Parts: sequence; structure tokens; C-alpha cells
Amino acid sequence: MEKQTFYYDNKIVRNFALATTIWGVVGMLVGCIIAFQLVFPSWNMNFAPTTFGRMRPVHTNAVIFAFVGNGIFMGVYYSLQRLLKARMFSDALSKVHFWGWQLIIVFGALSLWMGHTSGKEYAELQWPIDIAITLIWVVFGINMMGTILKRRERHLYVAIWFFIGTWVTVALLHIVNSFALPYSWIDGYSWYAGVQDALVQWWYGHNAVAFFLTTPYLGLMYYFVPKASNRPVYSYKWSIIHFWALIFIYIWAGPHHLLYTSLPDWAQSVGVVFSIMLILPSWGGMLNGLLTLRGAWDKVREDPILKFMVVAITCYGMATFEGPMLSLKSVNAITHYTDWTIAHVHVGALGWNGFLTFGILYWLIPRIFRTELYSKKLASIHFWIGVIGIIMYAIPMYWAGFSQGLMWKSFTPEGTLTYQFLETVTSIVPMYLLRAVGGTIYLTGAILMAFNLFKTMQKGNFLAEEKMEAFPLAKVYKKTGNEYWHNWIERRPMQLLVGSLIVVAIGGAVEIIPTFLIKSNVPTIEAVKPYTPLELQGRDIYVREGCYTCHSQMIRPFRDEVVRYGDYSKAGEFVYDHPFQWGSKRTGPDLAREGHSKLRRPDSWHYNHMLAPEDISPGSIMPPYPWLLTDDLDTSNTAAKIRAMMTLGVPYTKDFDQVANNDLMKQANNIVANLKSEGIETKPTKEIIAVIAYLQRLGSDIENVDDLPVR
Amino acid sequence: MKYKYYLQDALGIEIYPLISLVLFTAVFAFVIFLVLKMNKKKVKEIKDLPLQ
Repeated sequence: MEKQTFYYDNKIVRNFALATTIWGVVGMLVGCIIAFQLVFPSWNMNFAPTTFGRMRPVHTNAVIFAFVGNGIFMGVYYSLQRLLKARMFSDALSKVHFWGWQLIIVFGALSLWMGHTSGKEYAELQWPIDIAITLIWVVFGINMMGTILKRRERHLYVAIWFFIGTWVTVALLHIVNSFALPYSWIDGYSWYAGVQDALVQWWYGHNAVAFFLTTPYLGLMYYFVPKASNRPVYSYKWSIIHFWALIFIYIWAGPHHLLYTSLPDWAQSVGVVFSIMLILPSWGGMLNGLLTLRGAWDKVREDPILKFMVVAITCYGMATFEGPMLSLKSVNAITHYTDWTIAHVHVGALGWNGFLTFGILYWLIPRIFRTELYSKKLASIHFWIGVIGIIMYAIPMYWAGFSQGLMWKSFTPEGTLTYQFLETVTSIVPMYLLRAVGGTIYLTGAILMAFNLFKTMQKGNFLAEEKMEAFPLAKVYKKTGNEYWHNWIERRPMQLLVGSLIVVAIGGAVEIIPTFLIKSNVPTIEAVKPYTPLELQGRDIYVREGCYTCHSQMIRPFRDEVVRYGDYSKAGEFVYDHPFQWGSKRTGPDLAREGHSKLRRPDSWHYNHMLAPEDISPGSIMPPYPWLLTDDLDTSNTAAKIRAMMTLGVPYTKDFDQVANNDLMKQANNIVANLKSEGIETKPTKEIIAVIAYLQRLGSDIENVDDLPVR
Repeated sequence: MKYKYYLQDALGIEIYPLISLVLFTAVFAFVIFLVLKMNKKKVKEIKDLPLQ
């Protein structure tokens, strides 16, 4: 058999490297802006697209899918070719993948700024973009599997299993969670409602962290840490257990995002148990990565690349220990809805994803540009700036989370709440400022890196086609001595793919199927009725403006929450909520019973509050929404929305869509008359009227029902 | 009938969690068992793949 000559495609690797660098800086910049908005509300600029509720999804989506996404593809396209001794399957598919993904990012960001959102965290992009993501993901899959099939190396190294596991699981998560019913060319309603929607969303949300931010990066760790330290992975056997245990367990842990909510108890318990179990594979993987550097610690002192990688793996260890701790119900009672969650995800994002990406970029760019790094010293400075940035970010957030969580729960000896909600916010604003500064420091480091890499590219000589020689695979595989079981699957990528799918599907099915048994798991409440057309339009504006990024609609059964927000939320209250709006963070108070008679404020209060929150609640950090008062409500889609809701099972009467707008105007006129009596002149056609209708509806359904079903 | 109501009529649906727990434990134990039996020479060979 003769050796074959072929070329590695470095161009696609360089393109993804450029993309991850540029989008990384953009995503972090948006993050810094929104961090400052929480300190200085004027930074919202009285302009819808630059307001926190729309900017925050742009930040999260940019960092997850643009920065980390392109980072994954950069690492996969580099390592896959080399581990398999083969060029990528198709140059055309590589190009389609690259440009398709960048277009999705651009259109995704534009659509979020324009207010087109599904209202589900980290899955905000609407159905046409969801379809585009699916298609590009399939292109990536074909390109990857095609390369694997034409490989010149029989065995699939552990990094590749992580890539395969990632591909198949992300496809499953994305498709299941994105199911929506379109009512216009861009917008649609989540297929699921209430508790089901929450469960599907957090099954997705949790596993987006697991299979987009973790498993592909573990693959990269298993390839690039040995590369950078010039040592094989500490234990290969360990990595096998790591892979199977991690993908099996991770998928079950989603419900820990919904502890103490209206989700059935058994599902919460499953989530907690599997979250605790997750420590084992996670730490196994972390130790395997760190121990790979055994005997090379002298190098770590000098080499900024290894420094980045060590801190990245350490942050992975910290985040994966903290995650299970946060999923303990007693800890979660304090931390949930607070900034602790924000600190947790940023240890992962800034430390694990950010630092591993930086380390890989510093290692990879000089290699494909056949030169030395422009400035090792600058990379070292970046490292320290980055570390300081992470610390400056995380510590104030832990402080803010813990102190606010305790303040919420504090009672006076007389038995009343010690603090107004707003007091708990104004007391942590200094922490928000420190966080914003920490984030800016981290961003500065990333900009230094971009400069350093740009200078490296400038002085280097790009090797687009890297020549390589290798023997082709023999048609028939000859066993070499004692075979072990795992050899079998390591040679069979398709079986590995199917195996991974089965393993993750089991956890997913167990979690989700029983909740679809709606009648037994979600007690229905007779008094809960579908939204009126005006309320529905108001709700869609609530979703559009990203109110859920700061306000929850889920009162947990705690003394403080019940006293502050009213009776705890019941699963049956959300059966018509497409999408659910439980939220995950209380930068503002819970709104689940905003319209309940005990909490209800006058219509004029909402009107003035939307115009200038700081005037109504001094010290409030809520952005103003002046455009709601001036913009006309688009009622041309009311009928389509009602029809979509009917298709999803919301029991409007037959042909209600035809008269929906009449009903809408009637209710709007009532609110306008009410406002007039409170001294405010406005027209029934304004968006604010719909928003007021929706807010006043919240929690009013079970106003007079004594006999509520107990969860 | 809406598709989501079909599942509630599935017979014996409550056995799903039980099956999955057994499956998980079995798979986990199986992986550990086989990993312990692996051939050292081959492991070394695969381990060195990134460094080639």
C-alpha cells in the first residue's frame, strides 16, 4: 500500500478563528453595556433596540452561539482533520457552514434588536432562523461525518466522540425546543405551554450549557491540552468513562432550573439527583485535563497558553462543583432568581469557554501562519488581565446574589418583610458597578488578544494548504492482538452517533414524556381562562421587550414570596401561556400576581411607570419604555394570533378570530376611560393600553377561588 | 385529539423511569467493566494520536 498525499484545509480554520475573535469582542462589549445599564439606566437611551430587555438576549446569544460556536468550529475543523489524517469532506460544505453560521448570527442579532423573540432564554431566535440553524447544523454534521468516513486513521480519538455526541444532542435539543407555530413570516408561538414549555425549555437550556458550552470544549481540551503541553492525555480509560457518564447524566439534570416551581415534584427530584451525580464525571474530566500537565508544571509557569488552559480547566471544575451545589433545594431557595446564577454562568463562560478559546487561539494562529506569536509578553498580560476581570466579575456577583437572597427572606420580629423589593436592589447596585468594571477589564484583555493575533497574522505567512502524507485505511480491518470492546465502537462512527443519541434520548424521554400527560400532571383550574385579544397583544409586547429577563412570573412556596407576591403559583395557571414566562432572574419583582386585587395598582400607575420608572420608584434601575405610549398597536395580526392559539389548543369559541379586534377595542376603550378618570389622556390604539391590560390580568384569574388544587 | 394527549393513554408509562434507571446503571457498570479490561498497548497507541 502506498502513502497518499493530501492537504489540510487551514483556511476554514483561520476563518472560524477570526469569527470567534471578532464575535467574542462584540458579544462581550454588549455584555459590558448591559452591565452598565443596570447601574445607569440612562444607558438604555430611551430607544427600544438598545434597551436591556432586547440587548441581554443579544449578549447571551452572541457569546454562546457566535463566540463559543465559532470557537467550537475552529477547534473541530483543526483537530478533526489531523486526528483523522484527512482533509475535510467537502470544501463547499465547509464554506456553506462558515458563511451560513455568520449570516445566522447577523440576522439573529438584528431580529432580536427588532424585538422578534420567542421569549425562551438562549433559544430566543424565531422560527425562520431556527430552521436556518437546523440546516447549517446538518451541513456541519454531513461535513464532519463525511470526514470521519474517509479517514486514514482507524481509531476515533476521544475528542471526536465528544464532537459526535455534541452534534447529535444539540440537533435533538434545538429541534424539540424550537417547535413553534408561526403566525407571521417571522414570529410564532411556542408549541408547548406553561409547565410543559418550562420543562422543555430548561431541558434545552441546561443541555445547551452541557452540549454546546461543555462537551465540544471537552473535546477541544482532550486535543489541545496534549498538543500545547506535548504530552498525551493523563488517562485514556478515564476519558472513556468521562464521555459515556457525562452524556448520559447531563441530559437529566434540566429540572434543577425549576426547583420549587409548579413543576411536578418527581421531576424536580430527578433533576437534583442527577445534578449531584454529575460531579463525578465532571471532576473526572477536569482532573484528567489537569493531570495531563503532570511533569510539565515548569512549562505552565512560562507559557501563557498553558496558563490559559490551566485556569480554564480549573474554572470548569469550579463551575461543575458549584452547579450541583446550586441544585440542592436548600441552596437554591436562596440563590435562585439572584445574581448568584449570573456569577455561576460567568465562571463557566469567562473562565472555561473564554480562557480555553484564548489558549487555543494563541497556540493555533502562529502555527497556521508559520511564525511565532507577535508578543508573548502581551499574551501574559492578557492572561493576568483576564484573571483579574473574572475575579472582579464573579466576587461582586456572589456577594450581590447571596446578600439579596437573604434580604428577600428577612422578616422583622413583628412578622413583616424587612425590606421593600427596591431596597434590596439599590443595596446591590454598587456590586453591579464593580461587575461592570470587571467585565470591561476582561474585554480589554480580549481586545489585546485580537491585536496580538492580528499582528501575528501580519508578520506570518499563512499556510492555507498544509501538505500531509498518510497510508489509506486497509479495506479489511486486521485485529492486532487482544481487542477490547471499546475498539469496536471507536472504529464505527455511525454506531457511535446512534449510541450517543440513544443515551441522551433516554434521559430526555424520561424527563419530558410524563409531563406531556397533561391531565395527570398539571391540575387544571376552572377559573383560568384564555387571554382576551388585548391581553394577548399586551403579552406579546411583554415578550418582545424581554421583560422576562428581569421579571419572573413564578411565586415559589416560601413565606417571604407568598407575603411579598401573593399565593404561590399553581401549574394550572399557565396552561394557556405560549410561551411560559416564568423567568430565571429577579432584577425586578415577580409579576405573577401583578393584577391580583391585593397587589393591583391603578392603570395610571403603570402608564406613568412605563414612561419614567425612576419618577415613580426613586432608585429604580428599570429602563423607561416611552415608545409604548406613542406607538400604535398592530392589530392586523390579532386574528392570526387567535387562530394560532386555537390550533395550539387554547379554547376560544369558534370564529372568535373574526370578532377578536372588536373585543380588543372594547377593552381598550374601557382602559382609556379609566385612565381618563385618573387624569391621563391617551388613545385606545396605543401599545401601552395592551400592556396595561396584560399586567392587570396577571394573577387575577384565581381571585375568588378558595378551593385551589394543591400541587 | 391533540398529539400531546396521545401519550397519556400509553399503557404502563410509569415504568419508563424505572427502565431508564436500570439502563443507566447497566450501561455505566458495563463501560467500567470493559474499560478495566482494555489492552494497555492499544490504549497507549490511541492516546498518542494527537501528538503524531
